[in-house]
Parts: sequence; C-alpha cells; structure tokens
Amino acid sequence: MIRVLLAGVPVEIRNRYSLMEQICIGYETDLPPKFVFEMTDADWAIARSWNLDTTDDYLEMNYLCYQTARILLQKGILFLHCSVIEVDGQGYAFTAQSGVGKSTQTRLWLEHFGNRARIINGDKPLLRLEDTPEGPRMFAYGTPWNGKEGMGCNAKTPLKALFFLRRGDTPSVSPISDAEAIDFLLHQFMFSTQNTQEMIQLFDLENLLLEHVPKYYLYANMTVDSVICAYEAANGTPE
Amino acid sequence: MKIKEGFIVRKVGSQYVVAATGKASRDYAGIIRLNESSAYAFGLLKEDLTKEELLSKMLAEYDVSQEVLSKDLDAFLDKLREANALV
Repeated sequence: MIRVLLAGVPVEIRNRYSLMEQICIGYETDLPPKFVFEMTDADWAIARSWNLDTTDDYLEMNYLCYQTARILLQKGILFLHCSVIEVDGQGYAFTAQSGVGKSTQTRLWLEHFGNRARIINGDKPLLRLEDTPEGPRMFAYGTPWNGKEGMGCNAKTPLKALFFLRRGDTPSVSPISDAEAIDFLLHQFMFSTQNTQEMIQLFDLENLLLEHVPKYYLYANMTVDSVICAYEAANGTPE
Repeated sequence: MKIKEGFIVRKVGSQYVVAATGKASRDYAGIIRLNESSAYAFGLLKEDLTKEELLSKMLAEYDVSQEVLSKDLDAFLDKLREANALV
C-alpha cells in the first residue's frame, strides 16, 4: 500500500505487486487519501480481457492508471497520453500515435535547451485548470506513469502549447482545427463510456483544454530544426 | 423518433460532440461531431418528433429555405441512425 499525491489529490493505492510502489517513489504523501484504488476480482477480469501481452505487475500498473483516470475526471483532472517538457518554466506537450517519435522530440528538446529544460512526464501527465495571477491556465502534472523510459518528475508546469506530432522531411508547424483535434484526442484519453457523468466531464475538460492551450500540427524530423520550429511557433520568432 | 437514452451532446471548442454512454455505448463506440444547428436539432429530439415536426421547429429558429434544411436534416438523421442513436 502506498499513499501518493496526484495533481494535488491524495490517494491510496492498494497494490498487489511491487512495481506499482516502485513507480510511485517521489510522489508519496502523508495527507489522508480522498480516494482508494484497488483491483477487485472483477477489475482483474476486465484487465485480462484487454489481452495485453504483459505480466501481471504491468497489468496492475496500467489498470490502476485507468482506474485513477476515471475517478480523477470527477475532480476535473484529466490524463492525456502525451509527453510534456518544460523550458524556462513553460510546458510544451506532444501527443502522437505511438511510434511517431514523441520520445525523440523530447530528447531533442533536452539536448537543445540543456539545463533550461526538464521532462515533466514522458507518457501520461495529468492536466488541471488552475487560477494564476494572469488568469486561469492549464497545468500539466508529473505522475508515476511516465512511460517505458521512465522520464518525468513530481512537478507541474503551465502548458504553453500542445503539439500534434507528425513526421515530416522539413520541419513545419500548421494550425489544427478543433474537429481534427477532437477526433485525435479521443484516442489519447482514458475513460469508460459506461458512465454518463464521466463522459460529460471528459468533454467539458477537453473543451477547457482547447480553450486554454494553443494547439498546432508539428511536422517534425529528427533534427534540432524541429525543436526551433515548434518553440518559435509557440513563442514568436526572435528579431 | 427521438434520441435514445444515454446519448449525450457537449460543446467542445467550436464543435458539438455526441457520444453514447451507459447501455447505449454497447451499440455505438465512436463520436459524432455536429455543427450548431444540428446540435440544436439534437436537443429538439429529446422529445418524440416526426421529421415534419422537427423541420417546422427548425424553420422557426433558422433563416434558411425549407428545401435546404430538409436535405441537411436528412443527412443529420442518417448520421444518427448509423450510430443507433434514434428510437
């Protein structure tokens, strides 16, 4: 059993396998939990029906993420399958179908910006709208679920841009319509259609995401030019 | 005809998104995106209406010819039928 803070919400995770506790290191809290997560026999049956070719400890890790995602939706907190890198205190999120090169882009940003940059989460950060002196902003929080490379930290950052990553020979950035973004993002959230209230929350949070975070297609290759192109799209071209 | 229980519509950005939830989601797993007038029609169909009734309610709200609206509604209703969203 471990108690962790996820996007500011204290939760208790009653795990069966040690992997879950390992990935939670750095997220521990003493605060009394608002929610308790535990896989029941019924949950194990659902998890096994996913037919993921994986061991039970990984299955538990993934299923607890899904369970957490569904409950946190009720608190206005949204998991998004993406990577988030912070540069000079501003967050840049990259979402893509698997294999397109999220981790490559993340690595290129780290190389280019050096100690001005850090990875907040490489796979599944939590997003939450919060008030700031400059008005409401969408923040990305690090979580224990940070992908195969285990890149991430227990920190939060305000999102400056959301990039929909595609491969391109020459790096470029172009607008993405709400319609295209909605169709794409549907596959990057975790939810169950079983619960009507949960679906309403999901769409309302997606609406806030589109309202508060500028979004772009990023056609990227594997060079630093992609980094400069994306960074300038979000921040303006230097004189 | 009317919208089957469990179907919801929410505004997301400039779009309106329809999804099946609860029992209805067993028969339809995707989403339908609607424009504003279609979303209005979707709202009207919470009540049981014939196409003619729907058409006349829409004509009262939108400044568009009956012919154009009728065609649009046919396309809209086809979308809903494909998603098993009507009873």
